Amino acid sequence: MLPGVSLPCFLGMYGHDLAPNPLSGAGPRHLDPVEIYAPMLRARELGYRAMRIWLCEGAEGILINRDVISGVHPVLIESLAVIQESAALSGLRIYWTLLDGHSVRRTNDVVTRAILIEPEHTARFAEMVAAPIASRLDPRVMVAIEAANEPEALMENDDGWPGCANAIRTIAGAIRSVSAGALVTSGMDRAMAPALWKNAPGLDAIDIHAKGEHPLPSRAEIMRELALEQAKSLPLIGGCHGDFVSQPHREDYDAIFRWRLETEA
Amino acid sequence: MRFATLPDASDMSAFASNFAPLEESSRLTRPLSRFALQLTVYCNLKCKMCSVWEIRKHGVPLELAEQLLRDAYELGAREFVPTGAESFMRKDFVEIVEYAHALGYWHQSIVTNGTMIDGDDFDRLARCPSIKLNISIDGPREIHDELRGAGNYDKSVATARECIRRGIDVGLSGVILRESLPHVTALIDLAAEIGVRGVSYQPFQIEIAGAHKDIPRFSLASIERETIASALKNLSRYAVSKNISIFTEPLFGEIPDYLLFDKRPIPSGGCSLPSTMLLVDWKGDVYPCFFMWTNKDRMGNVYRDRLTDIWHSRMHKQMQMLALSERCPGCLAACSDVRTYAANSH
Repeated sequence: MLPGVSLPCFLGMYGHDLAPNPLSGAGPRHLDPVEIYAPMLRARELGYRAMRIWLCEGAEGILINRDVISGVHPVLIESLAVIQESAALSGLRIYWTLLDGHSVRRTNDVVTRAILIEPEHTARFAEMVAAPIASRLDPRVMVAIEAANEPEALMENDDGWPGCANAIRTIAGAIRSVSAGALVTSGMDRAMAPALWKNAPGLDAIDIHAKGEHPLPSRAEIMRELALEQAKSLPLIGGCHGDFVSQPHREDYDAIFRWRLETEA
Repeated sequence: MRFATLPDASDMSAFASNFAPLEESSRLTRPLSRFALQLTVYCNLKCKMCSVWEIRKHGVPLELAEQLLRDAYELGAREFVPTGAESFMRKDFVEIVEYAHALGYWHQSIVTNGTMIDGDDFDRLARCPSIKLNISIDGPREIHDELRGAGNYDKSVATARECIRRGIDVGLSGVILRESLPHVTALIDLAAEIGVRGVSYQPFQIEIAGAHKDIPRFSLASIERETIASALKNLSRYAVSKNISIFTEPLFGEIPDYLLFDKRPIPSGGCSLPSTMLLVDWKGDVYPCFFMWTNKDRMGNVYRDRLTDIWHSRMHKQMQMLALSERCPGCLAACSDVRTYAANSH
């Protein structure tokens, strides 16, 4: 089991740390590699062997032209290079997260909402952002690429799940078209995961998040809850608070990511 | 676009490697190799292209210098680079290099103007075969003395001759300046004449000169690139014809752009110097190399921190990562990662 830690933002700005985003009037933050090296080295010192990093949360790094997605910001591409080099040097694998479902409510992020709900924007994001990013991700340091973290956060009712699953499937397809070996995931709260999986999102691994003090479920429980035969053998990733050692079913998981490095001091 | 299908269970073994732990790069865990200690920034000369002598301070006291040498040796260092301004301005300087030799350092490379070494010093240096003196010569006598003061060329050359006579390893070091470029082969002639087998050249450094100096006088910025490149090419050929080796020759290809455009190269694949060396300056501050020497690069201070702790610190790893990922400031000097340049050129 690969022990990991989530580090959504390197420079402390949700939605705007590795590149500018179209929803923020602020200019691009200067990317000082040292600010990336430090938390990675610290995570390694604490015994973590992988890190989950968010890229396009809050529309960060997505270029918009005349109200449509037109590409990925070059600063984000440069950030990928810094992160991957430092990961390889420090001995960390990277679990890349593209979108965050919470950004819609958190930052009034209409871009992420459009990507996950409107097929035209999904396709543009998939081809012009997800694929170019995936093509620059080195498989030697990669755990997986998460198309969207907790997309349930923007679901207003169950009617939206087929569309959401379709969006994730589209993004996953674009990723695989340029990175054949990439595992594509979408991490979800345990209670919401069945809603996505029953709509065949086309994912390569299961990522289950346990909230609060709840433990991560066993693989048998996941198989039952998702009603998915493949869950018996699909790679299993967990996200939780607290130390993975306290997880009773940790042996069922290929990787467990603790939420936030900052709490480890 | 290819849409995904769930992979078969039989394909899952292919993903196992996605979850295999990676090892920390061995490039981050190399032993210390070179320990540089700025013992003094006093100098007996007031060279026109240098401002280091203006600081006028000595570095760490003898006892601490010896402690640092011991700590560095335990970390793996076998090369000691005492540095200055002029190291021989310290009365205990020879005692320090004798101590390093006795500890087991294999190489000690001392850059000196060669004007202060007396008979007793020669005797003591000769008993330490780990020591190599690199005597600074800036060109023919008239250029050298104009920059460094009348009579100093002859003193420096006399020191080089005496080293050879006594079997002390010696090299000649030249700086390529605007006024020395037309005479750049003079150092080769001198080396051949007195029996020195190796020389080094490094380009004029604004950092060493200081911004308040007459930079246009020394800078080659107004000289055509082809002229510089041609002079260096001829220099290489001339050195071969005289059977003199140029230690810094692997850097020559980078020099024209450095001089003309201030392009500070980094060896392809990154610079490994911060992974193998430490520099302690006269204040006791510790830096990863001679060109990562700003407040931002300071990793600790030997009056407060143990060298061993600094070497194993996260800050040191950060500095290493900057250099290994080709994000350090870059440089071009005799202290640069010449070995990597040489390897890349092959």
